[in-house]
Amino acid sequence: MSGWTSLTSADLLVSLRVPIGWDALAVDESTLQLQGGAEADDYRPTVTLEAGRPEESGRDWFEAFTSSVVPELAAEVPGFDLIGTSRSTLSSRNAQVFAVHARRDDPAGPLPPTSQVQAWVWAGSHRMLAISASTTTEREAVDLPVFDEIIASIRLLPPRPSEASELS
Amino acid sequence: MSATTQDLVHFFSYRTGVSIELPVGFESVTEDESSVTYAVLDEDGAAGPRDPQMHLQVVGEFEEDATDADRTAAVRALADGFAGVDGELLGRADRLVDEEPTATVTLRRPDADLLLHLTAAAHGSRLLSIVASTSEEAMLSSYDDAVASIRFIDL
Repeated sequence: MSGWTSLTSADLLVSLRVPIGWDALAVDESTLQLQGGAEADDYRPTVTLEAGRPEESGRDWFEAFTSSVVPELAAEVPGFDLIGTSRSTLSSRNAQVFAVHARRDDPAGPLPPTSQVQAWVWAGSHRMLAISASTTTEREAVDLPVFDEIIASIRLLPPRPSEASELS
Repeated sequence: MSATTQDLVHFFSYRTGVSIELPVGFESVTEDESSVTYAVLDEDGAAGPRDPQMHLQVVGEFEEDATDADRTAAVRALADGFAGVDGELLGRADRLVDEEPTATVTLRRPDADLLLHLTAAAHGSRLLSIVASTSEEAMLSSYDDAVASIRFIDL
């Protein structure tokens, strides 16, 4: 991945790769925001990662959750237009990824047409990442593959040894 | 065809600061204050000398005022030592991995039908050796990929 660089969040215990020139901002202890370089229109593609825990334990919950995501987005998000969904596995802790690619174009709303990737990384009953990435639909062909590459590059780091011993 | 993440398993050691992806089948075997070993275990849960294994160790510390040139020189010197190990030298590659200097030497041991994949790397204050071995030639490219996958992480 030439032109990319590694980035680690000590708060989220996540390592990932981003294109050189992207900025990272720790919004709070559980949220990291990445922003791409501005184009001529000053718009910057944004990827937000939020660490949390699954609402319920067990893989069955995640499977049920992923089954409900698209219908809920279609019902709740004005102008939601599904591009597709995908499933993959990260190299870390057999973490499962469910991603939704979609456009959002609500002529009555204040936002320009956007193209988005929303993804959820399930790493067992105690750890989950929610990822939201957005760009203008004009830049969809360029930015969505970048979002996918960033998500695929995610490595989940284990708890620090002191924290791990506290958990055991 | 390159490996996908489904074919790989990620390991990270706070002791070494190395995040690395190895083929599925590798497990973390031992870890101490300065090193960690990953290996493919046999049916008895042990790693024999001919089974694929990788040992990462912090072998030196740089002074605070060490320059990039100092660190690169140390990597090359460590790799020169690897190249002097008894055996048939198969190759050497000096390259940047995760923007840090590394040098890898591959050689075939004459006595044990064993292939060694030996890498020196510098990251921050650490000088690292990464010693991998196998009896299967095809594993050498997997070790190349593993070294290329390294991210050096200070936490």
